[in-house]
Amino acid sequence: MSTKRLLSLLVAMILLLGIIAGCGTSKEPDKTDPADPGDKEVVDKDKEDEEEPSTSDREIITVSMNVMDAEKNGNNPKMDYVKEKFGLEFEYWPVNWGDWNEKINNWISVNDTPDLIWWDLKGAQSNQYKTWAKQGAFTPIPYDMIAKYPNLQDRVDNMESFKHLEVDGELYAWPSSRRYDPMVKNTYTSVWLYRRDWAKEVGLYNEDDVYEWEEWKTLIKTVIEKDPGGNGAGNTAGLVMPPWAFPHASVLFIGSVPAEGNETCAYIKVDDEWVWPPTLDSYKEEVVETWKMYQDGLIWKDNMGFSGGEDEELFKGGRAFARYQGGVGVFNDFSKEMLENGVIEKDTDMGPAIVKDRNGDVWLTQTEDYWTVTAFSNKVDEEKMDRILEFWDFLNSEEGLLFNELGFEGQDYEIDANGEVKVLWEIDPETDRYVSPYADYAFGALTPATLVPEINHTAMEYGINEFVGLYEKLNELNFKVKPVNYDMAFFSAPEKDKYGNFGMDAKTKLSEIIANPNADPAAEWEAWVESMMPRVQPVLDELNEGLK
Amino acid sequence: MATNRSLSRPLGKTNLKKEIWRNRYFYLMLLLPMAFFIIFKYLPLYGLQLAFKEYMLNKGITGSPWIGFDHFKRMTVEPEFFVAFKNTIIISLYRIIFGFPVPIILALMINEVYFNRFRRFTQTILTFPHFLSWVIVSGLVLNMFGDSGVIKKVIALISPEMATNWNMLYSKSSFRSFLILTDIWKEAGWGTIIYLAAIAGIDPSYYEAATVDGCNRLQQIWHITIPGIMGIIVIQLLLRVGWVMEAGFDQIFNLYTPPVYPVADILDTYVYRITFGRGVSMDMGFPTAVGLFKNVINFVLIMTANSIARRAGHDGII
Repeated sequence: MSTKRLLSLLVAMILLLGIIAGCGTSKEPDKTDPADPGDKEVVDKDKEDEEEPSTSDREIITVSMNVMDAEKNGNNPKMDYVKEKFGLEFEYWPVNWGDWNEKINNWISVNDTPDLIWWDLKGAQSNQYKTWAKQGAFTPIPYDMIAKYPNLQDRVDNMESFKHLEVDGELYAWPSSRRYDPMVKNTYTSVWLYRRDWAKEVGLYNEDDVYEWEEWKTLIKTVIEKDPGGNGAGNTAGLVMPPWAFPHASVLFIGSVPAEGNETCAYIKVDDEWVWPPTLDSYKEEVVETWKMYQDGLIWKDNMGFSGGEDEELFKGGRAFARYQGGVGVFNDFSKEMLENGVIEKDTDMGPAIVKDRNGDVWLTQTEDYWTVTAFSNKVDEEKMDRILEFWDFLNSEEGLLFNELGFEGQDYEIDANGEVKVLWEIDPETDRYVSPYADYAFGALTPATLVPEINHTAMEYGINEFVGLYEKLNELNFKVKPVNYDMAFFSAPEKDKYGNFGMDAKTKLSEIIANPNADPAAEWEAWVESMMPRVQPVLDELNEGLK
Repeated sequence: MATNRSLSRPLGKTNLKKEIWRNRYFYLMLLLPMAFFIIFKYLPLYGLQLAFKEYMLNKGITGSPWIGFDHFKRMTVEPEFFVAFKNTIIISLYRIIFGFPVPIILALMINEVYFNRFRRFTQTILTFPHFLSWVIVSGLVLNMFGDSGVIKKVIALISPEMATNWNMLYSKSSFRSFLILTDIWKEAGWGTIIYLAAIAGIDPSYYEAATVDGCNRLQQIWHITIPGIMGIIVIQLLLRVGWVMEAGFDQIFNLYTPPVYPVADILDTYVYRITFGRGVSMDMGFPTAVGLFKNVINFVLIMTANSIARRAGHDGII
């Protein structure tokens, strides 16, 4: 056989095998396995020798789950400990903020899912969850199995959402913790993180960080014009928002318009009738205000094209004046990065602004008491589920909470005689922040993110002060609450299941209107609402009929 | 010559085996594209039945109940479907009218470049953008044509008033043009390859004869080069017409934003949004029905175009 023929034969065989292999149902390809002994770090040998022998001779079970930052595969002693004590190792299926929803839909539709399916379920999309549950995508989590684990049972007893996640009397998904704080009436505390130093430089800083609506707009406009950050003309962004919050966060979400979760289209009751909020005059007025802000350049126009974390990068990079921030756990992280990069000189150059709406009120929004849920794949057997629940129970214990946040007692933290936890990690003198030895750690490496309530022993003084100060100010201002309505969110009927609350449609139309400099926003909004009513009205009829 | 001989007479079973054995390495190479088509083109046809079914996870494709034409009826009541359908046709036609001639013109121009090095350099420069994904291009586009982009800043130096009204990426009136221009920038160079290959196949003696007869370069292009590649042009056009319902998902998905949905949302992006978008109940049947609808139209168009081409005396593709 000539060399050419042999070569062609080889090439053809390799390509063919490639195709066949590619079509196979491998479980491994783009998934990283943190527990793979092949690339495991050799950790403290002496410590290993000192450790107690295995508490169990149980077979090691591999649990697959989808996580963010899967490339940070977390090869560290924590994983070894979990394997040793609970006989669990993890296989990560990567997702990111952009493809998370899409991947879950795909995996479930072809019944090829990780053991633990973690996704961002909102009440408004509960129809999809219920359909999947009824069609056998998940294994139910038996209440008698949960009852064996006191810390988990405690969660079931104290979280409203568990009963709403039941389908035909069975629980198919475990809700993670939203970390509600009674101090702010269990609301989702959304704020504008803003540059205090810039506000001071332009002479419009309010000592209490509280701004009236017109003050706020003037401040943004002045900062853009005077460019205290020295970015150059036209390069300083006023308001930036993450894609999910754009553009409604700027006016609608912080205003009086009824909202649920991250949306501004949750049906509400007016005069005992269910109403779709976009039909309200107040909604229309805020659409007009958003249009004005966008056209005046107070909202960064290129925010329209953002699809990932561009807004965060602009703010952290010193290009944006204020960034919409859902939740308040980021003060230390943001300021740390900005200090490291020389964007700000001291922590307090950046902080949360409280912006009153056009009527002088401060609004906060209640959401469901969870953020994300985790379901067990239909392939998970009783033994695996039991082992996972046992591990979750440990993570929800006092020891487990500290293990999850910090690591090992004596090495990462110690508890003094008064029961106070002292963190033993080093502190970076440059930024005055703890340096975690577990930095190479995926978001939700041990368990789907926030399934274990986060405690925060590593927050530094700056973050704590901002956090407490913000809550106190909000209370002083007697903030108003947009309440969550579980019954409405989880209400199921054919038209509502098909269309939800048209939240994406409203967001899309709002974006379309504000981008048009020649638009008559009020008239266009009215016309659009009218065109939507043939589809909205049947949903309202279902609600009026079934949810009186 | 064995192949030619074999084509000239019918093959018996024994002869066929012999022929296959004789050309076994070619057949072996053929396995690869055959596997590709079977796996990725024919096997998925099994899923087409979803267009007439209500898909249920626990019952699978075969076990899910038939619902007749319900998904197709839903198309008629979804206003977004008609917008997407109209946009698909318009954007595809724009691509054919404005985009299709560009690689032909470029190929003719490149062919006329006398210096070989310059010719190769030009070809490389023109072909390079093809290898950039639309994800990369969308980043470039935002940085160049966005509200804070370089182009607006340059325009501001020339005409501040024009810069104030700059709204290239988010304007319904300019977005389609923008799509076509970026598509031409990215793909025209790549498209020249096939035409340059066809031009290289034209017998040089025609040009020599024409030169002797006193033809200038333009006349040679008009009377020799263009007729010489007309067969390829027709085939390429047929293929483009047959793909009218494919208006460029990758490009549009990466470049469009909500303000331009009314003019840029095509069937593929619409299907994507209703399948994977937030706040929607995933339904595999409806997108399958839209896909089937789209492909039926593609099939009718390609058959019609093929028939017209044959009647006009050209080779078709079928």
